[in-house]
Amino acid sequence: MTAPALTVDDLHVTFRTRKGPARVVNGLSFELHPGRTLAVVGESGSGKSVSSLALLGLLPGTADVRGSAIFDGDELIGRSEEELRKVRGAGVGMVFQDPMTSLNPVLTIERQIGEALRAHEKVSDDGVRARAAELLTEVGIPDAKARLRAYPHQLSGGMRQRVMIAIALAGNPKVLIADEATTALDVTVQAQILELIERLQDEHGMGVVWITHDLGVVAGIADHVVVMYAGRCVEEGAVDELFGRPAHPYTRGLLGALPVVDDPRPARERDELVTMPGLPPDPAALPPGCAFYPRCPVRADARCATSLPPLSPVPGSAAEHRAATFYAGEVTGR
Amino acid sequence: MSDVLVRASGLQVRFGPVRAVDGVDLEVRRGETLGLVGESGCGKSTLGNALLRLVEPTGGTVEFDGLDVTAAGRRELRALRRRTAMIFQDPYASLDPRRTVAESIGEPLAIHRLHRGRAARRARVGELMEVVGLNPDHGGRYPHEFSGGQRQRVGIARALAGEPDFVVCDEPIASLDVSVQAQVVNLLVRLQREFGLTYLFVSHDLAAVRQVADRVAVMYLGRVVELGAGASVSSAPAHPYTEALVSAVPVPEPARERTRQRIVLTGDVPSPADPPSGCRFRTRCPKAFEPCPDHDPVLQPTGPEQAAACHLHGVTDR
Repeated sequence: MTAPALTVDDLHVTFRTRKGPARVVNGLSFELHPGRTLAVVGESGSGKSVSSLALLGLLPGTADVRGSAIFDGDELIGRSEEELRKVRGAGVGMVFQDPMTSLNPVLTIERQIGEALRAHEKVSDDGVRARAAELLTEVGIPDAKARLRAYPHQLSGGMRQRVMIAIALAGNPKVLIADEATTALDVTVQAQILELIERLQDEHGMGVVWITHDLGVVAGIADHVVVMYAGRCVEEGAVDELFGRPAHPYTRGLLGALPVVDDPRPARERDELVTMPGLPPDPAALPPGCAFYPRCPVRADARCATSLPPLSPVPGSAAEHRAATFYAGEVTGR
Repeated sequence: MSDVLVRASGLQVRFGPVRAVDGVDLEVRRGETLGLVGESGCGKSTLGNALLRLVEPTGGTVEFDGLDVTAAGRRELRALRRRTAMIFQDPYASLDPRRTVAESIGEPLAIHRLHRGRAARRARVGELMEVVGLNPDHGGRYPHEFSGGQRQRVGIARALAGEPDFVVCDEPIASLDVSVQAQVVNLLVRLQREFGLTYLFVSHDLAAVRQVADRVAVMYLGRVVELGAGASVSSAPAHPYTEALVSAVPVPEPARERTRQRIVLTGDVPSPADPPSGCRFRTRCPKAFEPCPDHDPVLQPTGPEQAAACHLHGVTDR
């Protein structure tokens, strides 16, 4: 296999809060290879977004970031703002959830794409206009030249997200981080954007980190999946492995909680959805043992309450399928 | 007693030039869950509001249990309000942050003069909290002290306070995390069975709608374009829009999801202030043919318990 485009090793993010240190990311590691898609899955507060912001130095000063992230042979953590600015866009592009708040409402689309183009090379006004129109066409915006003069509010949500993707592509990034990039969109628009990203990935060979809570989307686009809970990876593996033989009780709970659209049974004949009682722990007061212990349906053992289960290979699975539970053996099979 | 609890006929809601709901005929049967799905701006929330007369219809009628809601006077409306309720998407925005949750849950009791007297009211609020899975001892707390899922339970308790017959659930799980969504969905289903409630379940999430709804209505640009039993609408859609919608909902099974044929619609939804002539979906429809620009299709039967407004099943005109 080729060298990874991005290697994250033992990433920790701690925020200073009035309640004391909030440990939001607690030792996250993953590798992303060129042309591949890594999905990072988790619910609110699992640390999935914070970890990607940490990689690019986009967290506020109250955050303490430790660990390592190697992009293209260079360490990202601890680099100066100026050095990171060169990485953002040119090396790593990012697309966020809400294109209305990430676009500047008082600037035209041309200005905003132009800003991204000029950040990385010297280009003439005509050059910017031509390249911006090219990018808009590439992300599937019809009549690109006319759209360059538009303001964000004149575009639909799906079009705005396409503009965000065009901006992210402006620097020809090797890695694209998409943070809940389709969550605010309608499903038919989401289908358009997913298709677009897959096409761009094929054409540019980008590695994609897809951060989402939506396991349906993950099933369709991911090669490898990392499931996060309370700032840790609780399970990871190839997408078929992880969905087919989820080993961690949290992963199993998440999968069971999803209604399936084409289950032929009428609503009244369906089983109840699987639920997990309670809530994720407060990052300022993490329990000493497994963070999932208070909600875990398995927890057979006092060990779970006191010691942290390490991420270890799932018995009988492919080597890269690993789970952080003492009970992977007992709970495999869906 | 008719088996129809709520009936909308030719219902219209216009906001200036915007035709949010534009000629909807719909029945909600006693004791059923009718799912109402559609994407942003299709008019599904406005329709839910109009059925309860929370927005004034600009045309057509709504009947609730035989009573013409659109013509009802103040007194009749007040009686109607007790028998209907609404559960909102964002319980944080729909609860008064300065009131304890017990006060919020008890407010409908005061308005409708139910369970009069402090002790009776407090007992009823405690009972309601227990029914929705909240600890009655937490009645003195404020909304911000609860998680999103718990706040939605408060909203549900408040909706149930007047012992309604008909509840409009407007995107009740859209702002919740997956594991919490499942808790709320299960709770709503359980409450329906326990209290014989009739639901209109408004959601953009077809998979969630399928989990709870006996029948499903699909909206596009102010109109119901397909209506039928939940299983038939999602496994054998009769309208090309429903077909695209079903195909776009991701399925959490990698092998199937990778090979599933997605119908990707082109373009954006047209403006509801200026809908296309004839069939409103024709500008994005992969199956549009020659009658579509000139004839505005009506809902017509396409199978047992299924109807679609599409010329593929025979050309019609409104």
